[in-house]
Amino acid sequence: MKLEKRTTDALLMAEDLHVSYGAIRALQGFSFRLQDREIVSVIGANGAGKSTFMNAVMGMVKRDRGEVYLDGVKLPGKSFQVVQSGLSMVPEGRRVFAPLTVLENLEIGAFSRVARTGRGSVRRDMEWVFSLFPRLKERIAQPAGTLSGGEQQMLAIGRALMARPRVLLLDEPSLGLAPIVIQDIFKELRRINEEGVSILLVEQNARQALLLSQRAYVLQTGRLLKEGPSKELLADPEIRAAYLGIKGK
Amino acid sequence: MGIEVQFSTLFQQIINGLSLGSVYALIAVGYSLVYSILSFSNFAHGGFLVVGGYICYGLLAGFSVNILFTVPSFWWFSGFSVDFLLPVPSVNIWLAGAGALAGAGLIAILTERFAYKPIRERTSITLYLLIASMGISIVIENIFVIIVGGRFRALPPNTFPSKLFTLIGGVTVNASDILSLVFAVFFLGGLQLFLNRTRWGLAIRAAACDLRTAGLMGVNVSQLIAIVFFVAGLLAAVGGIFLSARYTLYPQLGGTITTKAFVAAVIGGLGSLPGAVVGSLALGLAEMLTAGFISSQMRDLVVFSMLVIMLLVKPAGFFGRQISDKI
Ligand SMILES: Nc1ncnc2c1ncn2[C@@H]1O[C@H](COP(=O)(O)OP(=O)(O)O)[C@@H](O)[C@H]1O
Ligand SMILES: [Mg+2]
Repeated sequence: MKLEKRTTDALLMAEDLHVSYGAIRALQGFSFRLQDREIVSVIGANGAGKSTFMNAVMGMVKRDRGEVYLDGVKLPGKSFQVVQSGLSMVPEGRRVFAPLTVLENLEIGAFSRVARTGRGSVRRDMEWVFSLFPRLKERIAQPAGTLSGGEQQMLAIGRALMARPRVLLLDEPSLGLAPIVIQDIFKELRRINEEGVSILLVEQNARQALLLSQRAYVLQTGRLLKEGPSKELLADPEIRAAYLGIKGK
Repeated sequence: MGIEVQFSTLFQQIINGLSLGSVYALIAVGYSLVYSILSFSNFAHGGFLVVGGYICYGLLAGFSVNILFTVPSFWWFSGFSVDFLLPVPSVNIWLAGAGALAGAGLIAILTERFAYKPIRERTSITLYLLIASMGISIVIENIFVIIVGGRFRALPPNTFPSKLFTLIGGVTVNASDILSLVFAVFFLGGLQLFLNRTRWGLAIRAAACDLRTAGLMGVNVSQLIAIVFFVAGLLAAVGGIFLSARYTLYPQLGGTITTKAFVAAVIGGLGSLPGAVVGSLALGLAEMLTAGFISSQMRDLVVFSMLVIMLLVKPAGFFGRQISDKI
């Protein structure tokens, strides 16, 4: 009998993940763990394999090797099943459904669980999303394609929250946004975390990611370069030079 | 006198055109729906219509099935054939219609599952799907040629009311034309409600915009695609039944009509459902007005002229989103 359940203290963990696209080996044995209510970030340069890692966790790309466990239970392979198990993702580039309204985008976020939890809880969660991002409520009937970049990012986060995830995965939420908007969004991520949602964040914007997260992994060409508490990585001279653009001292 | 005749012909042909156009719309909408989700032209779509037509015909009239077995290597005979009449319970048009709709929907699901899904899972190049769909359309056509023969068939008389109404000014309208218009509006309205009021309808609209991301929302994409094919097959069967009532049913009908649906969808804007309806109505009207005022033989010439003009003037169609990558 295969042992599906593992005893572990981590909420989400992955071991020895391998992903390749033909001859390109995008992920070559990456492992990580995320505790309950923790914020963990994965930083790395463009092309390091960050999106590949997230997509591998969500079942969006095929893993050559390695498994992902939620609460010690192996995650299923198909993305819709992964969402049903309690993970949801804000994809790179936001990918809101442009012709659908803000309301419809939020409704589709609840697709996998509305049958289970009922319409009432969907409305309550929508109110919660509106309390985090009041601007979404003002634009509720507007097609998502007409929102600004920052508003679309808020919508993508709200949409992912509508699935009621235990772990929220975000792929470069700061991409293409003005610094002040990034500040706003990261502040709300902290609030979301305080409400009990664990967060796995992937970022090229290493400073923001390290300031928000408790622990971090540094990914370089598909392999782990370093890991540790975010504070230590912020002070690490090598990281400062390579990822934060700060020389010396 | 001349002007009055012209007027009544005009009015009559407009009603005929709308009725024919609404039947095209049933077919073009399903075709466009599949295009909007999987971005390829499903040339087997007309096959679903033929499946629906023959199921309906078979349930109403029964089939004499003739299967010829050829055994090439024996000297004393070269084959034998089996003839039998497929026993049919006598059913009314409602049951036959329901059977046709369900059967065509099922065939559409099976086509996707066994011909397109294996390709989708291996490559994102949609040209392969297009080529596979051409193959499937030939397969479906030939299955009917082999099993029930290639001859033209008409649904039994009195399947649909054929009463003629005479309106003011000597305009006559056939009850079955009105009936097909009413049914088309009913089914298109039902589709609209399904897409706008239900959870799966919302998921389909999201998937039409971005299939991968719809999967990230917890939507079972395989199930969604199966639903889309079922709906497309079902709508095609409704069209197939009314087309075989209006004209006749034969195995190659699918190919002819797929071309029409394709033209209608391109005129309206590929992948757009309102576009498919508008394009179909325009096509139906153009055909009937040509038949009424010029000549029946010119119909197809007019249809393809419309396509060419549209592609020159407004290549994205009336409701089209992007121009790139048509067909
Ligand atoms: N769909 C794909 N097909 C082929 N190569 C890909 C694909 N997606 C990513 N890659 C390659 O895999 C590597 C990692 O990419 P990615 O995970 O997107 O990195 P990041 O998100 O860190 O920028 C890169 O070399 C990239 O070119
Ligand atoms: Mg990336």
